[in-house]
Amino acid sequence: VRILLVDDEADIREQLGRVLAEQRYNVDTAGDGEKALDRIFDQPYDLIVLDIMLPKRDGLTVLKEIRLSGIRTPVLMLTARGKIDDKIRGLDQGADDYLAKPFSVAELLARVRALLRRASENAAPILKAGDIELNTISREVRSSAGSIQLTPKEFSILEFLLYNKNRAVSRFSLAEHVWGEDFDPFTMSNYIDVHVKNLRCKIGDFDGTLIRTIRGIGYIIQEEDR
Amino acid sequence: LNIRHKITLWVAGAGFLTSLVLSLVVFLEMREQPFRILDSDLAYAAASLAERIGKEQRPSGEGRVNALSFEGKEYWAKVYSQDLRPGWQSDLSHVVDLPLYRNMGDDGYTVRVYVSRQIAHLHQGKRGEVHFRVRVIEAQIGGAPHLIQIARPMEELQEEIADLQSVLGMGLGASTVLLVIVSYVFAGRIVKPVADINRLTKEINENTLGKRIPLGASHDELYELSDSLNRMFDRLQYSFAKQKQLLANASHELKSPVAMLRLFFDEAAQRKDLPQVFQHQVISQGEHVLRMDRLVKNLLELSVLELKDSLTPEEFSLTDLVQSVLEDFSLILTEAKIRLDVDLPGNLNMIGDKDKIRRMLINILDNAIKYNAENGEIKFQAIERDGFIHLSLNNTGPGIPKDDLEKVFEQFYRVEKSRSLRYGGAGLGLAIVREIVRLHHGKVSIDSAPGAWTRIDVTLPRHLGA
Repeated sequence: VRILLVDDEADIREQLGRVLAEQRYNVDTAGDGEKALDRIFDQPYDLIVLDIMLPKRDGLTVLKEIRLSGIRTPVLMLTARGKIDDKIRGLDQGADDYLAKPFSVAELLARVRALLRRASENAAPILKAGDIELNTISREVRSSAGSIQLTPKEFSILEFLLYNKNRAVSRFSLAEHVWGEDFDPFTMSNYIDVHVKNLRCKIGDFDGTLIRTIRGIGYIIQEEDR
Repeated sequence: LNIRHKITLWVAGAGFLTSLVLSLVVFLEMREQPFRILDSDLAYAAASLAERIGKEQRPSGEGRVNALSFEGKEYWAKVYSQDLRPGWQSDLSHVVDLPLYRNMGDDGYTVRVYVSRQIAHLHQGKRGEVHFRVRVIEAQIGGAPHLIQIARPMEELQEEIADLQSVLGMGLGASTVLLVIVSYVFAGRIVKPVADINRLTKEINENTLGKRIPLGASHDELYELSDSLNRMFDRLQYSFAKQKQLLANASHELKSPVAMLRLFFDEAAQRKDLPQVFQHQVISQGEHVLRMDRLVKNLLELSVLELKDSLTPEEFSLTDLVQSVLEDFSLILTEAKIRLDVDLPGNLNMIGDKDKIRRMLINILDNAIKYNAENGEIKFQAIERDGFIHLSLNNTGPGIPKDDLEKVFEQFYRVEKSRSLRYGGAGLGLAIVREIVRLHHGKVSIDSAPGAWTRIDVTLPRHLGA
């Protein structure tokens, strides 16, 4: 899977590049709009992570240009919070999702995985861990015992943990993801534990072997790929 | 006492004093005038009497001039020789006796006598009193020096003086009333621009810094004052804008470094090969970074709200919005053992910026939960009345002291510092609420007391811009 990461800050390129590479993605980077366009027209990517604030050509111009030339690669825009105009313009011009800086690694990885799954038509939209199967499109959860009814919040937590399989996810990141950025994650993260407790009951993970608690941080779903 | 009354009082007072002095001078002058005329008339009469006596008879002789009259007026006259032997005397002097004062110099003197008998042309008073103006004049008669004591009754002179007094008094009163009226009207005209300036200065606040005082046509001191005030508002507006811009720029610039730090700590927390002490440190430092992240986001949001006066209005169901926000909080309320009481009409629609109204609801509810008590209560009520939507949120809790009430809407104001440290980005929530409500042309207020319920009231026009 090839991902192009476009950001004008070298430190962020390096850091995010390493995170994505650790997830076994093939990552190319570009520091400005023109380099980004060069790379996009040079070779096909599965996903483009595009910052809006860029030197030479800004992110929206780059997006417009690649959509005009018929490239339908999914684009995840990185933007500043509160700039509602950017959000709307980005989505109008064909961005598939957007993420406000600063964001958690877990959130980025979840969005990247969701976009990649949506884009590849032949990949099943199903996330698995243990005997739990989660369908990201029909929003159904099944176990070997049958269908499980989850509240939207519980579904959201499970989905987020599955997208971040084998990575520890902090309560804070979970709160940010589940409730969105309008809520104060410091207030909400205090109640993540309650939701996780209910979730564990419903999926039959009574001893916390599937969703493991990591003290002081949060939760992890750990499973070696088979 | 306001300025208008003061000016009126001073002008009318000064005017009254001036006219009082003027009236006194006029009065005194007018009172002296008839006596002077009378005195010179008497001197003239004495001279002509002396001339006549000298012509008609010898001064020592017994001859008489029977009736001495000038222009039909009766005079009282006695002629004395040098050694005060009486000589000729007029008819009137036989009836009326007047005292002789020789040391009056050139002036005449006034004498009041009672005449019991009624005499024609002698305008006696009720008890027969008559005022005489008397002069004693030295004259040469037949070559020898004589004294002539000559007098005239003063008729209605006293009455005329009394008339003069009352006329002057009335004039004084009338002019004072006129002065008060004129100066009151005038003071009003002078003070009016001051009142305008005052009203506008009160109107101009943090949010209406663009307003200016209209300048008058005449370039007087008040024009200067208005101009100076306007310049001051210019400077204030400039520095306010600069401060807001600084906040916006600072929070914008902070974004990237904070994003970097977040990525770093997120990754560091994943590492399993770190010594445990170090891992704990990474986690606790990571919390601080999250707090900073939250703060930067809120600051940026607040500065965007302040700088861009733009909303994206749409029609939406406030009922649904409130319910979805309450749904998001529902588990938290259960966990925190807070009882929620909602009074919400089923079909409350409004036109406004839905995202921002949602943010506002979240912030006030978040506040009501954070600062609540164990086994506390929250009451939420929404009603629509006269085109306005009134939201009120009551919560139990420690309450807020009266002095702090206004400040809770200020940036970074926290009533209870220690409690708030558990939460990130606190101190901006209600400031954001205030900005959102302001952008919707609504009102927000808070009421509380230590130990009492805390109540937040939000009033929003149902149709933004209508």
